[in-house]
Amino acid sequence: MSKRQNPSEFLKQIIGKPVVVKLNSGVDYRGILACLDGFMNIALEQTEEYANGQLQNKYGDAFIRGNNVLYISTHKR
Amino acid sequence: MVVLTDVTLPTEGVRIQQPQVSAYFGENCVGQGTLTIAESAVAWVERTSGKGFTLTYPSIILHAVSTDCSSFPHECVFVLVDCSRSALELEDTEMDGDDDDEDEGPKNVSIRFVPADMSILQEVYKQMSECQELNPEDNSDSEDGMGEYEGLGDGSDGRWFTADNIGGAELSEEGLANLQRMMGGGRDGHNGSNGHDDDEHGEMEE
Repeated sequence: MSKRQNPSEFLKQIIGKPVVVKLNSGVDYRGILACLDGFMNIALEQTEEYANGQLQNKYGDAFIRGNNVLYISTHKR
Repeated sequence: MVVLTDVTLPTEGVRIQQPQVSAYFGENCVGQGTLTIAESAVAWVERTSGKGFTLTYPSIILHAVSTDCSSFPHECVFVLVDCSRSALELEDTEMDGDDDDEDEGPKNVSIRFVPADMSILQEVYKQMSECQELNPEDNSDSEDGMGEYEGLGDGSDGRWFTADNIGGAELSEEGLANLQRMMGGGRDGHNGSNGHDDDEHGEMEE
């Protein structure tokens, strides 16, 4: 990560893409980033919940409150 | 298992009031009752005892619609709650088997709402999402004590960014701090007074 991007550039690149959203609790959610709002609340589609690398649950739509998110990264399916 | 208590039902901003909704803590059904989605909180009250529980939006880490019955036998609205931020009274701590190690860290609890009328699942999800927008973090307990929200129209206007309008994305201070943290920038999450609407690029000094 050489130079800091304008946030909207980064967000433009990842919306509609498969992402991994890791929560502070360590659980991560993989799904298509449907949209996000000004608080960085995150809405995912086709969400899969992983704990310790194991699939726990599947959700159609999932809404994650932004302040619980440790990181978000792109994910190749 | 949760301890059901007397609940003062929200009377204002009620989006959904749905009877015949079963509530599960982890895998355990605590009964059937009425689910209320209000702008200030989510409440569930058991039909016969009139007792229940209330969840404020900041305590709700995640909510989702689950239609996959392989790990839980009913379609449901799934809610993950941060117990350290909620007023839930828990009897004993063996929930869900999620994390059995007795860490002193914050405990999360899974709650599932299973309505008799499954057709409302999406609507519950949607209304909860909208109500989350109305309940940003309370500044007084934020760890870095960042500024007030005054003058920041963005973020709280319920606008969602999709691939179509992301070019004009405007993040609130909370949103920016969250984004910086997610991208691994700014270790202490410092952010200055960037209340500008148009250009969000400068001002992210370390």
